[in-house]
Amino acid sequence: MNRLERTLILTAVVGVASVAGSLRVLRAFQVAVEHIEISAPILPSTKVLYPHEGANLPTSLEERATIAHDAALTYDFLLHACVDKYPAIVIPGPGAPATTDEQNATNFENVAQCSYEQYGAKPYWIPALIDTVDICGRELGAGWRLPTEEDVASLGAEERTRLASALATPHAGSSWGAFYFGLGVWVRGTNGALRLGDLSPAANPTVDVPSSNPAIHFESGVSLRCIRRTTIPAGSGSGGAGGAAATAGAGGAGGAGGAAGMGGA
Amino acid sequence: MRWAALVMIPVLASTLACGGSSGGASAGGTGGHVSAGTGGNGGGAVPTGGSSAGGTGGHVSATGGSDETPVPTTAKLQFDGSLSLYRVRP
Repeated sequence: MNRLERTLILTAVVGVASVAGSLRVLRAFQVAVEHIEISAPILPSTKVLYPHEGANLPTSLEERATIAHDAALTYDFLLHACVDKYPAIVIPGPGAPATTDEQNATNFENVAQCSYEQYGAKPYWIPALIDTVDICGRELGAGWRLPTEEDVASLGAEERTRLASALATPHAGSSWGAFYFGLGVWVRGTNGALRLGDLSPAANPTVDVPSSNPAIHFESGVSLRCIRRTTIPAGSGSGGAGGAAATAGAGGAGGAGGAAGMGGA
Repeated sequence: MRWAALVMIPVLASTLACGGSSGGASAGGTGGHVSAGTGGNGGGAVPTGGSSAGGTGGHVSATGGSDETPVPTTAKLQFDGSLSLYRVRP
């Protein structure tokens, strides 16, 4: 056996080991999927909110919760309340097909417009209400909460870009409802204090709320958006087989994935 | 030497094929139909997860990224006005 033959045999052995390793990786490729949802802004009706600020802001949690609830304009409320005056809004009836991406974008733009024109909505919450009342959980239901500083920090550049892209509807920000399209958010800081975060690709650092009376509404472009993170465990659905790649690392098109079993309506 | 070459060529070929397809496999896992489950309608079916996430998976492979790196899928604006994003965690 000459040197070339020995080299080729060694290469073959290494290749076999590599294939075995790759197969182990593929077998172990039971991926877990995390679903991250960032709610539409919950804006207050300033007409409802402002009379309760300052010295008029009650100290009891229940009274504050009532004020927050009365002022909170959720997307679901606006969608249904605005449809008569904004006929471009599409709400499928029972058994009707789901809305398309384009219809969802149109709905969003019209709700944004309606929120300001019909309800005087602005993202000017009273910080003390956000700080002391679980508005996300009360208005949107279990699992929804105020984003934390860690939530914001966990978003990578690619994720931020994709979130911004999803918000870039054809007429985004062209109306008075421009604040609907911002990604500045209230967050719960790691120190427990209310802070201001940024979900946009700019990834501005989370900062303290400028010093002011927390019982007075805060005027800025920061919105109250809520977050819900759900982990879909590995094995909930089987992934489709990967497509063959023409060259290593190019990544083939994935096959049709398996159903995770958590499908919505 | 001839027999050794006959062994080596298919082995190397299959090695390359496995490296490339691992990205696709991750995409397939997230693609398909992992929906949000919270109603509204449309939930959040991952949009054509196959092709887009496949590309991403391949990219991770190509750049030698860690297998722990979360792979995001396309974000969507949902019927309920929320932004929906999936992360794949191997």
